[in-house]
Amino acid sequence: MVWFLARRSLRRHRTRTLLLVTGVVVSGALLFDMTMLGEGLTTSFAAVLGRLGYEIRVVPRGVLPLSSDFLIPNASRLATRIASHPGVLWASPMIATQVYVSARGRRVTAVAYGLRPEVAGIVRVEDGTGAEGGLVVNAALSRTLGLRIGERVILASRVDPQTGAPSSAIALRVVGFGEFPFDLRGQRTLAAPLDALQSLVGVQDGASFLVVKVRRGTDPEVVRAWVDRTFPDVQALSIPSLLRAVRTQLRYFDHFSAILSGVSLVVAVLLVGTVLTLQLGGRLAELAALRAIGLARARLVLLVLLEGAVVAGVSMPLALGVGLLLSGPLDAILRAMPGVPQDLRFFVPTAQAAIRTVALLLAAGTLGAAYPAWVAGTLQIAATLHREVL
Amino acid sequence: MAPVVELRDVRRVYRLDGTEVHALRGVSLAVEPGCFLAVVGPSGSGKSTLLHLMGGVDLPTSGEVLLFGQPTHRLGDAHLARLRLRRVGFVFQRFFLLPMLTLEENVMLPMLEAGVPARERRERVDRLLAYVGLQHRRHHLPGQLSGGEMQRGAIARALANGPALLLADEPTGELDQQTGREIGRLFARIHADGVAVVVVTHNPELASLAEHVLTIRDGRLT
Repeated sequence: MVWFLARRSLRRHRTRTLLLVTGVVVSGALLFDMTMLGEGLTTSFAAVLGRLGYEIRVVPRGVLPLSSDFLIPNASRLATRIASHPGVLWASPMIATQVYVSARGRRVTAVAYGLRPEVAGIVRVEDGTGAEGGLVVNAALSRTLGLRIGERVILASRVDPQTGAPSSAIALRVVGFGEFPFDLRGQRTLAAPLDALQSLVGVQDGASFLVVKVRRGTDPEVVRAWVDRTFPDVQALSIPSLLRAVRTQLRYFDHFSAILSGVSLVVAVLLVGTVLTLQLGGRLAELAALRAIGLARARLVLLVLLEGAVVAGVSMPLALGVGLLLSGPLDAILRAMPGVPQDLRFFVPTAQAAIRTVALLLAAGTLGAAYPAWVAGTLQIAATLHREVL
Repeated sequence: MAPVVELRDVRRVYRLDGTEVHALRGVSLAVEPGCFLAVVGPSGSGKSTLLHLMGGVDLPTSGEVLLFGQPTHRLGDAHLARLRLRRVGFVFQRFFLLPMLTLEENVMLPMLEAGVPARERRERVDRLLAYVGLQHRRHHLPGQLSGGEMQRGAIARALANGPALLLADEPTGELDQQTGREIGRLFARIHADGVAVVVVTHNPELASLAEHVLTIRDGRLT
């Protein structure tokens, strides 16, 4: 009966209920967006890392996880030794550096990755082939220089500041176009064979980092710990540890989302509480009559709590929808910040974020109804009925 | 047969703005099953307090109220509410039909709370609305009914779970004389059907229909 009455009571003052629901929808939408923001960056980063096709990244000990400023010497030997672990499928050195790219009489700088064929996940080839026999360039670089597949380009590691002549250069052909998940907006990037880039930068068997693919059924954490223990000059980072590192660096997003989530929850609680308390004030005699005809105190409390929960429940689908709509432009604003990889998303709609929003909104609705429920629960039947008649 | 409700030296004292108000001063009475009792007296004499104590919506300051043999002050809220739901019917001066429910939904409400199965609920609603002559108004909201119709609807609601005791507080207080007369006839019929009826009223015509008339003055039965 209380469920039936809760729904009907809210339909009684349609405009008031509609305004209340609108308020809770706005609050809930903000809550959903903040929940997405809290989890989205990690989820999106994990998705990007998952697409790379390796589970462990080995960097020189003491450097930042994603830094490529320092080189690991004797990288091939290290890769062979790491690959000897029974849980490792392959280990491969990679170079990440800045190069000058010249073609059609123009020269620009670009980020270059030197890699072996097995490290295919670092670039998503959209046209042509992988970087085994030449260069895979991204859209920004090909657009800037007007490159085509088969075109010959010159890569240089240094350029003489006086003459403008490259001091160390190699020629390679473009074999494919592709996208790199960690590209910043507008960044020019290319992938080249590892040995070609090593010879360009003049490092014999050096690597910025190694990437390690573990066998199916092997826990990457076990391999990571083994690498850490066995090779004192490097540190191994698994995807979860990379995520933890990124999460720590971006802690302020968590704080931001927690504060705004809290504010939107408080607003929802106050809205529900205020409107239900006002409505209750106008129907105390009715509630006293309901008690007189046999509704127990606990049932009356439940009735008012349910009214709060029904408001939250009705608002929920709209709140999720509006939150989803708002997340698009908000995501675009944050992704326009400098230094944000283009594949990264700040607002990622996940089932977990939706479930958390639904649970928090229901709790807010019920909590908002707590005070009017207490008023209803402590109602003196006889005194209220008597007052009504006077 | 045991009385449906019995008051033993009942006193009820309120505190109003720091002053003690003695609403009832040592009232004892017994309402036998199937009897028709009217309680009359001037305003503020304690009539409504007496009715509220009889129905277990208020508890005595001292003395004892036995509702169907059970002392109300010893029963928990849930137990007392269950007793009211199943065995006591309440009729109020201002009807207190829920405005967002149709007449038949209002009548059905106590049955829903008592867990009466849907089919039986429908049958009982049909019977009760026919009993009070409101079958044609079943889908109307209270706001679309006249005062007399609302009170008849409220009486049907009070009878929903087949109570043995019907308590009415000034049931004709908001009605014109003719309508009040119809309501009085309805109470007489309910009494004739074996339900104990206690009516608190200022209306001498309604009181004259009762088997017994008690006068209360300054918190005492006279």
